[in-house]
Amino acid sequence: MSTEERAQEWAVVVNDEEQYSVWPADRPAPAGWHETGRHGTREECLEHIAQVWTDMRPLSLRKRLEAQK
Amino acid sequence: MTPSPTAPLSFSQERIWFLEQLTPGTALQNIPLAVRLTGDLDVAALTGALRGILRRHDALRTAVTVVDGHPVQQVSDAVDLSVPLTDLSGPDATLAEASAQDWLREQARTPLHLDRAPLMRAALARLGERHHILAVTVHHIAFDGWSVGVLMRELGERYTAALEGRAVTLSELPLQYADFAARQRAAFASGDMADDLAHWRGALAGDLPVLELPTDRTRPETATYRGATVSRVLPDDCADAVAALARAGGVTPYMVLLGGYAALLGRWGGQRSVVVGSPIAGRTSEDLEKLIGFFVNSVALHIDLSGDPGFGELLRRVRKKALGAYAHQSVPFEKVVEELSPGRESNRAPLFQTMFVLQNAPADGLRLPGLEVQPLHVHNGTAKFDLLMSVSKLPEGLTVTLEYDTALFEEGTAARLLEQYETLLRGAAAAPDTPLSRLPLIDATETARLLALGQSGACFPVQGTLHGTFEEQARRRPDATALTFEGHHLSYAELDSRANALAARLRDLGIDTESLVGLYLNRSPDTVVSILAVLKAGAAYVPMDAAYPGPRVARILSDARPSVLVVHDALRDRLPEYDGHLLVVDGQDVPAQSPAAPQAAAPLGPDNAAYVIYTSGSTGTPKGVQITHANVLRLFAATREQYRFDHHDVWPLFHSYAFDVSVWELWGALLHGGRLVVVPDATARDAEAYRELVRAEGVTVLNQTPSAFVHFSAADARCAPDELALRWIIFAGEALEPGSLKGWFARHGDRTPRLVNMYGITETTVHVTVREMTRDDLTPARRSPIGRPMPDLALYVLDGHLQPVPVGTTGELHVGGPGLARCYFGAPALTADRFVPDPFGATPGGRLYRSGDLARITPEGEIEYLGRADHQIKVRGYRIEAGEIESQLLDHPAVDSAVVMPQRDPGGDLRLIAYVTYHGQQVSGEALRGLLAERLPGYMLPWRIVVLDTLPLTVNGKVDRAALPEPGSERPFATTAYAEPRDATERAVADAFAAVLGLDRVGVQDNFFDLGGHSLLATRLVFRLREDLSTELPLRTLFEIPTVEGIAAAVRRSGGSGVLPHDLARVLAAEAQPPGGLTGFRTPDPQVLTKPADVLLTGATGFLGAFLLRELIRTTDADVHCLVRAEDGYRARQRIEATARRYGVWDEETARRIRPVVGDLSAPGLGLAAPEADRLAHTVDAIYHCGASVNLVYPYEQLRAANVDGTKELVRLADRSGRAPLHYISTVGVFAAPPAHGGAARETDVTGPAGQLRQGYTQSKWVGEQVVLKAAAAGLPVTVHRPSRIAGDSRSGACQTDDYLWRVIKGCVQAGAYPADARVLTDLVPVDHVSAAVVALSHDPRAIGRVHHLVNPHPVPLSEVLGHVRAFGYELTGLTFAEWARAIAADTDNAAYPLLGVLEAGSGSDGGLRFDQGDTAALLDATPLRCPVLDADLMHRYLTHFVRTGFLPATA
Repeated sequence: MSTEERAQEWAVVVNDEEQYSVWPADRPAPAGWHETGRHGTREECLEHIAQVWTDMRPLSLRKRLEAQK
Repeated sequence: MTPSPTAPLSFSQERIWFLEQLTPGTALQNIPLAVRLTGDLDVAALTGALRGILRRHDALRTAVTVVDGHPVQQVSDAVDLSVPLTDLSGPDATLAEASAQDWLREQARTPLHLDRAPLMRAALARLGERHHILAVTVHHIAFDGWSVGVLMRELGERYTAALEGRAVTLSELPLQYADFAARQRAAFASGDMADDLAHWRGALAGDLPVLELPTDRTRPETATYRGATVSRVLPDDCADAVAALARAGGVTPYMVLLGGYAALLGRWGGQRSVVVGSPIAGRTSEDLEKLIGFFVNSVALHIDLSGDPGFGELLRRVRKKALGAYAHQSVPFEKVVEELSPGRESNRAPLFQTMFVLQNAPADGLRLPGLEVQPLHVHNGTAKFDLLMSVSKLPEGLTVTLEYDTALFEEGTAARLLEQYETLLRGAAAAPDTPLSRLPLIDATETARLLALGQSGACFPVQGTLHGTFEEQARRRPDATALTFEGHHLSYAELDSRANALAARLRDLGIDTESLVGLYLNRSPDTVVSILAVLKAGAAYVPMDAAYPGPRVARILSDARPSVLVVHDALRDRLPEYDGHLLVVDGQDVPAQSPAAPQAAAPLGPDNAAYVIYTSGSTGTPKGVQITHANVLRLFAATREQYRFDHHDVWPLFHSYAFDVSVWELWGALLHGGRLVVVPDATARDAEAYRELVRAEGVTVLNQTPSAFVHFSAADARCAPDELALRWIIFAGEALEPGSLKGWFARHGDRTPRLVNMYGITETTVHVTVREMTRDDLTPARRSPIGRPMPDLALYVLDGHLQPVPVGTTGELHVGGPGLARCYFGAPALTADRFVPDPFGATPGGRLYRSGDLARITPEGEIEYLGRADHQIKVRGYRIEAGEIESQLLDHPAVDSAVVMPQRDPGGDLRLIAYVTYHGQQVSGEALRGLLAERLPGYMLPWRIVVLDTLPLTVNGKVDRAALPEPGSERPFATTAYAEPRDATERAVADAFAAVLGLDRVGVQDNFFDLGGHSLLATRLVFRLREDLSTELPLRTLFEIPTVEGIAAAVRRSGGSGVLPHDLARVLAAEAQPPGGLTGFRTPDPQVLTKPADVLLTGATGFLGAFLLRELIRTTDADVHCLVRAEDGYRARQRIEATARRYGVWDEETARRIRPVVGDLSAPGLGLAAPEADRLAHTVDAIYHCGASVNLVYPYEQLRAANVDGTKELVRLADRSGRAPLHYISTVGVFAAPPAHGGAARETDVTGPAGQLRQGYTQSKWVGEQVVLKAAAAGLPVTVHRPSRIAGDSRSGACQTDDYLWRVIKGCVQAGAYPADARVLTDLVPVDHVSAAVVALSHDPRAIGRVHHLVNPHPVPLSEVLGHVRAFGYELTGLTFAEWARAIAADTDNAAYPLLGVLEAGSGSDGGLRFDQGDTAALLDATPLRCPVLDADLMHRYLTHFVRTGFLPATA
């Protein structure tokens, strides 16, 4: 991780498949990605993601499997 | 006409002169000017005006000549200027203009010679009746930017005056350039610039960054200085933006433009600080303003870019640096360079490698009546720097010109840099707070273009599953062969049936959709069956290679936690602890066949997981990459167009099923109805067997890592050239260096089969790009081209902010599209970190995978792979790409494969080891090194080239870097086979070779230099041979016949091996006789003894000699005649002065009283003409014989002439004079052993024994001393002085660096370690004490006829000296002597390295020779002279001197 990455403020973002990632807090998230409201250093954001992203299957797959049960 | 007097050069002139000695005959220093003149030209008036200028300014009529190696300037009044007129006119104006451009280029590029006045030329071209071009070219040593204005104004005035028929109105010049040069030297000598120097020491302290821009071509070993320029006019709005930035920041436009340049360099080279040179006019007083001459000075601005500041903050930093530089501009740049004495590479300029120039005085000041004057841009075709940016205000606008080194950069690159410069300035003006790393370098159009290079946007919707597609093939062609293994075949139906049976069993065990099943299997059909079965059961497989070490299997099992593990019975024993269900695939547990597949609980879709393959991360912890059916299905859909795979194709399953290339092989066959040949382990490991399998099975698609293909290709070359059925050879898994394909292309061409490089990453499903390789790619040094991404993937080269990097700039590869893995299994943080939002894709919510691979986009739009971000190698501060060296090695026809690896040396520095394999013909390591040396700079040359039979490969077929052997002490490859020594001499020589080279053994035909020997090692070898064999082997013999047998023969010829000492002793004794026929001795007159009027000094150009000279000047009124080797008296004087200046003992008094005598100690009659010898014999009142040839390696024969014969000549001279005593400087080295009484050697003790003196030097000094003492016995008045080792001036610290103590200290500092147990005593006497004592004793009648010991009565243990060194601030680790010596021996660049032979000898018991100086001290008792102790204070002075001169680095 570069110094810039460490120094910067990051946001936890999530897409419609409920896949998580991080994005610079001072830039709007790319289309299809939404801010979760969680900000911090990159490390802090990733730590947060480790807590919340417990089922890593994409949402569409989870829904399909759920529907077929 | 008599030549006019010479004058010294200014410091900057001296530097230019020096540079010109390095690269003579270039146009590097030409300053070309040209103007187009439209109108009626009076050629005579113009010529007259130019001549007038030449007459007025001495600088232009100057020639630089060399006097005794030193340049001086000489103004010549006689020179004239001709202005030839070339007629280029003709009916075709275009043609005439083209000819004019050629003519201009020639004018600018024809070198001017420094030794010929004038240092300018002028020429006219006539393009038409009213159309001329004037070209004036001046040597930089007489000219600068300011001079242009002076010249133009004067030219206008003189031309106008001539036309008007009036006198020229120009005020008298108050001084000329040489006056300035003298003034500058005086100012420097007076110490006026000390404060300025101190500023620069501070401003440029620490390690200065070397400019490291990504170059288009490899930097040549020595700079070529060829250059070209590109220009760009900044549009008005951009120029306005610069002005606005300057106003807002309270800085000058210069600072804005410079700051922008620094920011651009920092961004482009990825540097946290840059040093940019900038010129300062240097016309520091008014009287200099009207002169033409070289006054401009350079300042080095170290600009800090760290912390990613905004542009406004950067401007504040630039302003501070620039103001500091202005305040201290008077110190010449040359002196700053000397002061800092930076480590110098011959291919880089010191301190800075780029300059920034704001041209405030453009060449438009020329006004000529009746003529329209238009300045023309001409360039001399050279470049002094990597890059030089100049900005000028021209009528067409603010013009930025970049002069670039054409050996490094393409024109397109330079042009792009200018574009980026403009974009950056605009971005900074728009948002001055934007951090530098975020400022735009490329505009929106270019950004879009670069992104588009990596996108095609195709989409291949997929349905179903992998096994579903396989089942479809099984239904369609049930009897077709699906799988072959060791001659056995399985049809599609059979394979399907077996997989069904296993799948059912897995379902029974609770395996379901999205479960994981571990596989731990040997390579066999079971592998394929098991993979299919896991998928059929709805699950994803987790493959583990049978060759994986236990801990790795355990880590994977604990991470993936598969509930079932399918194993081969034979592998059960090797399983680590596992608490899930074990399913033995070849056991009773599994039914053989089942016709129908079991139903998974939920219907499977393409988005279900298919496998989790573990890859090693840079951290060493394996990460599980989870891939779906869709990922793999689309891989084949996206490459269908390219490959057209079908049921005719035969694919080997060559790769481990735990490496994802196997996924490509497996499904390449089974999805298309093709045949999969499972390659047995033994065959996969044996290239010849594998090649035979490929032939016999009719394989059509061969997948190989580049490393494995080297073996395959080599095996193929040994086979009969029979037909292979191959259609495709596909490379994956490693960077492909095109050079490795040359053998294959030579045999098979590039059409059948076709070769394709596919860059890929497990995280993006096997492959990302497709790049067909052809013979055209064999161009030497072509880097790994990876081509374009597959049509449904996106590939970008981005910076840390996910912005595209400009063409040619290194960035990180990012991949987007449906190849991206679902995730790292069970690792959300890692997944989120590496799979990031895609800001460029068309699909909302898309992700990009950050690969960690470095790449750049070439100007042709190709993506070039540059290696892993975490594999960057830095050697001696240079960023190195091993691939570049590898591709050069591969360029040698004999080299099959090459890997370059960094290795840490004991000092912690990286050095490079190259591993190569050959096919057929073998070449010497030396030849390979030679090839590399021609093409690569020194810092890229491998330290060792290790030849291997084969490169070790990992189970995945990649080079196993961890398994490469440490280049240890094994005898490296040589052209010769090992041959045993045949006798004791050869054995001894071979042992010495081996010991010096650090090898186990050395054969008698082995070449010292082939085995890694170099000149420093050669010195060490000679020392060792002298000790081991008592031979006098001259160093040059080793260069002439560098083999063991050759050296052994030379040793035998010289009568070595223990015979020599007696012979030598006899020879020395025979020569230790004074010359015959001595008469005329008289006792010296005491008056003359103490107050000589004329003395003769030899050795004044040596260290002690310089101080003796000073002492004689100080303590006597004598004129000092100095015998010096030189071409003439002037050069002799120069040499003496140079030495004295070096040690800070030169002054006007010395200059007045020295009398250079041109002669040569080693020549008969001292090389003096008879009248000169007579004159000396009649005038000289005393002779101080300090001169000697000092060389610790030369044999006696080579030193005899200077050291023995020269002494005899001086004895003769003293004899002829009839009165002059001879004061002879000897050395304590004439003692070879402790005296008979066993105590310290006294002045009166017997020296020698001569036969035991080890060095030719001490032997020659012993003989010389004997000659003098025997002459004394015959009545000649003499004194003999034996100093021990001589240290620097105890007051100033000025010191030479030759003494081994200094080298040991430097070696300790370099190694960061010292020998803590070194008890050796260091006996050092400050040079000022020695010289003062010699002169004092020479005035004392009691001293005549006696020997004097000038040794330190208080020798200090080496450990104490090293303690002072540590106290001075060097952090050194204490080691035992043996450990320390090993550390030194491991680094051939260490300053103490060549001394190891001597040190080893000196560290033992014979280091105990001690010297008594009681008699001498008694004589000196009446004087105030006391030998200073080498204490902390004195050491501090010496060390300070060494740091100041750059011999030692500054302390932390």
